[in-house]
Amino acid sequence: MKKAQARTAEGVSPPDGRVGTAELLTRKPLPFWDRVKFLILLTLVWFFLVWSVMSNDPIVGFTDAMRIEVQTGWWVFVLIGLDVLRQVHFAISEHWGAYNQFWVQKFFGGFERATHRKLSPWTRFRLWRVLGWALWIFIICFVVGKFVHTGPLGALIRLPELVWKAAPLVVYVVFILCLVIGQFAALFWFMSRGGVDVYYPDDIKTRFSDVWGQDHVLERVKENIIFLENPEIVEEKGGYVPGGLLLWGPPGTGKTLMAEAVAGETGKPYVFVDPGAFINMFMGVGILKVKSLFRKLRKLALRYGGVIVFFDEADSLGNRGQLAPGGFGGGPGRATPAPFAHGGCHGFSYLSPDTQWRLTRHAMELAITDDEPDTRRSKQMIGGMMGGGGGGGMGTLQALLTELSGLKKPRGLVNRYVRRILGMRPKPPPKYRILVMMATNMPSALDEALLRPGRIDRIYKVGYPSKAGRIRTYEGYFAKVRNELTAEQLDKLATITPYATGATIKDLVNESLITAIRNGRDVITWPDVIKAKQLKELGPPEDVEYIERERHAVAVHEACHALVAFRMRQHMEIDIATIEKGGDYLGMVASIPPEDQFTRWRSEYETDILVSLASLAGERMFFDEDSSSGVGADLESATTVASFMEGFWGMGNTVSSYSTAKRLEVGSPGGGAGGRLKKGQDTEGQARAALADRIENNLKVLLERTEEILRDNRNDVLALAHALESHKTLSGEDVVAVLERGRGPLVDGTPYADASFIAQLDDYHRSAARAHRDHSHEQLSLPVPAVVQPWTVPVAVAEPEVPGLNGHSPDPTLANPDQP
Amino acid sequence: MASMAHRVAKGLVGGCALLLGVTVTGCGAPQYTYIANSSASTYFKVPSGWHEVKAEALTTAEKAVGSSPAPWQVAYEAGTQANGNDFLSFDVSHPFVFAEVGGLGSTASQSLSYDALRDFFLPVSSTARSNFSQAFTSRGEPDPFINFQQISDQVLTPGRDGVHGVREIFDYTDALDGVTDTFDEIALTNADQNEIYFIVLHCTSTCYSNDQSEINDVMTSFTIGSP
Repeated sequence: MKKAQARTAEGVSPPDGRVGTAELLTRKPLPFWDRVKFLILLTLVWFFLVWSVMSNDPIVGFTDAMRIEVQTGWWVFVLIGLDVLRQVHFAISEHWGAYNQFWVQKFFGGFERATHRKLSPWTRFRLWRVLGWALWIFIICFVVGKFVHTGPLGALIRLPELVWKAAPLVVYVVFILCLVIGQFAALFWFMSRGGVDVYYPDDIKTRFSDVWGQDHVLERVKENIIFLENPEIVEEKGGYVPGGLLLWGPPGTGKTLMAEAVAGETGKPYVFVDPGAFINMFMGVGILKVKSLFRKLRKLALRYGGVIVFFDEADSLGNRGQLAPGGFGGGPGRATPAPFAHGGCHGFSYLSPDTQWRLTRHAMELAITDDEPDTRRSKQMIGGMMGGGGGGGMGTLQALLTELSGLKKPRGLVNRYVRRILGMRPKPPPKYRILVMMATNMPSALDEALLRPGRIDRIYKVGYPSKAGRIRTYEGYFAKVRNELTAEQLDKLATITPYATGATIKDLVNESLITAIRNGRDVITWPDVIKAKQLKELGPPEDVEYIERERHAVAVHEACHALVAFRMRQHMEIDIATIEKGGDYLGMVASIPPEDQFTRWRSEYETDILVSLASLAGERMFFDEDSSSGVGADLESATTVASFMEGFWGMGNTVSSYSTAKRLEVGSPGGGAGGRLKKGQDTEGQARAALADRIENNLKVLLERTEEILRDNRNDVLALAHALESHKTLSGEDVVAVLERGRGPLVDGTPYADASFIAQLDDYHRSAARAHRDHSHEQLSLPVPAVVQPWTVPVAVAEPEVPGLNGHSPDPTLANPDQP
Repeated sequence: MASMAHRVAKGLVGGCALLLGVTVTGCGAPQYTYIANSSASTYFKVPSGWHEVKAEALTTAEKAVGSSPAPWQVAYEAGTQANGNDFLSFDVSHPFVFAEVGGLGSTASQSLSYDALRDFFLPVSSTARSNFSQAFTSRGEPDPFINFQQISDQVLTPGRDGVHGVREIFDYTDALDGVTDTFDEIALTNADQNEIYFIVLHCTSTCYSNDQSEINDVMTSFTIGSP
């Protein structure tokens, strides 16, 4: 019983980390292996000695060798005897409490108490160290003595001589080792070169004035340069200079250009780190590269008073996996659920912490389920370096983090060791003025530790340029080539390219120039720009020729979309309408927001649905209630938007969110009354049915409105369909020109003002509809306007016809004379 | 798993028992004393009861007959104690063994023959015996060794690294007191014939007959290993 109590006392150590030995009455039984392991070891040693006797003298037999070693290897038996004695002592201690207590408490305990009382821990440590050394020297001398046939003391005396004799061999071995290690060192040294380029002031000609459309970020970056060059501005007032800057945003928005401008503007050296610099075949090379890089940075910083290092595509550095809970970035307390997540309209910082937490968790679930499509590829673990990192990997990131944090540590062999030996404190390092700039379009791939203040102090989003920025960028690039574009056209171009970046703008300007050159000109005109834009957005057409009745059907389909979009949708502007077959579509009407708008409204969603339903309504109307499968995608869009409006956004007949109601299993409006369920009652089913009914009802109402709009604008649809059949692709301005009977960049819409021509179009449509119904090829040929006006460009030299804000007059009835 | 642990435990216990057995086996003294010249890879053994002749005594005995000691030489004698004078004396009642390893000069190396090996210690070949006898006769002195009796003449080629030589067993009678001793000697040389490995054992004919088995063990243990 006592033994059992004693053993249970081993569970938790007291605060000083030692087991309460007073409570252990008997010794813990030793496992069998621990009991015999030294015996076995010593036996093996003894047999080794026997073997050595036999190997030294070939005529010695095994028996005689053993007899010899019984005499000469007596010390092994002494050790065996001592171990046996020790095991007997342990065995007694395991069964006899008083005996054990005597040794533990009185003997060893007394010795320990005495040494603790008289000697400090440091002295005890040194004494043990001396004893350890003495033991090892004795063992070595004993072994050496056996070889040179002398006693341990004699071996100790002869040791210098033996060492001197062995010196050539030792030197040889060291030389060979150095050679082998040197090969690796040289290999690694060579592999750790490259990937880092140093530019000195005046090497780079890019200036801040070359960066357009990102003025708000540029101002902040300029501020960093000022601080780098004059750190006293902040430091004299007790602050510190921000040392790290992360620029993140979509590709092509000018992050690298901005960094180049920094290099061009500053008087400090600029170190460019290649994205692939830390991707290495061998472990350790990346670490060497980081250390080498920072050694170079420190040197440059001291020599030039500062240095800028730029890590392009910093996501290649990788990360180490998920952030620990409660750390920087994720979780409650922030304006948005994660540092780079899309912000809501007002964030959610006004909510209570608990609500914030629930919303964050929900956002994370969505991020997993929505952002990651469940493809076969996504199920596979590809790479998986260091729990999801990849990139540089294998300690490179850790080395970088350490170097970023370690700039304030004392450095140098003499500084750290020689000064300490001489009793002096190591000198703190000088202030290395290093500005770390990073750019990435995948900020979520960065390690959170990299982004903490002190390493990366400032994080700036370099987003899509604003309209003003785009105008400035267009101006900048068009200034480099000959063109006839007016300021209004540039404004228009900036409007119809809402997500253009510096790179895409530059590309569009270049493509416009190529289009002009292809047409035998060296001056870019507005139609060149429009054609270049169409080519960039749609790609080259497939050159598939529709049969006539199908071409007309597609044209009517797209014309319905375009017309309803033009008449009803004020928040979007038609960008392109085309019936040229693309990779996965027969035709399309693409729209763009004319303004940088960040909120969406019910009326806008309703018009979106109207535009989607226009194809079904139009096909039914123009083809005698017949319709094609081409409306499938349109109906899917309409249904999706209608579902969200009804079930999620409070834009329908109910207020509560269907998704939340379903998740929390509280039922939905229309899902039956609460309380006890009747037998066979399915509230969830009822809720779904009710929701689907409401969605269907809404869509029906909207379809009727669409039909009404199309009925009222039948002639415009036919005109637009004719323009599409004639030109295949229309720009937004051309669509407006057709519908307003004016002139667009590529299409003249004035013939459609002629009522007789519209009558021809109606006849043409009826024959096409008949051919469609009968599947015949007999139909009228596409009417041609009576007075063909050769449409020549440029429009830029003519008086520009500037449309309204949305590309057309705000009042559709004024814009369309055919409108009843 | 448990059975495996059991087997391991049994193995360990068995190992301890083996250790105990070995210890008991090894408790006795070795049967032989092993003599080795590791640098020359020369080994032989003598029964553990034999005593080593002190190096000084051996040198004195050699110098007494005008011979110079070899770089490595060793002698053992059976009986209660070893006596260096027994090396070059007749009427030795206990086996006396002497071994040496020495180098040969280029002249001696080139003229070395099996007969030269036979005659390395005492004249054994007929030519050598005749020359030896004539040398004494020319000086007007009687031949000290008479009644040569060849018992065995054997050419040895141990087969390792070209080592070769002879083993000779013969009787000589001391002309002064008429005592006959039996000599058993092995003279070997290496392939280059610049090293000589020699062992000789002698005692009275009676002693040799009585202790032939033991003597044969000593002589056959004479081994030249790979240098």
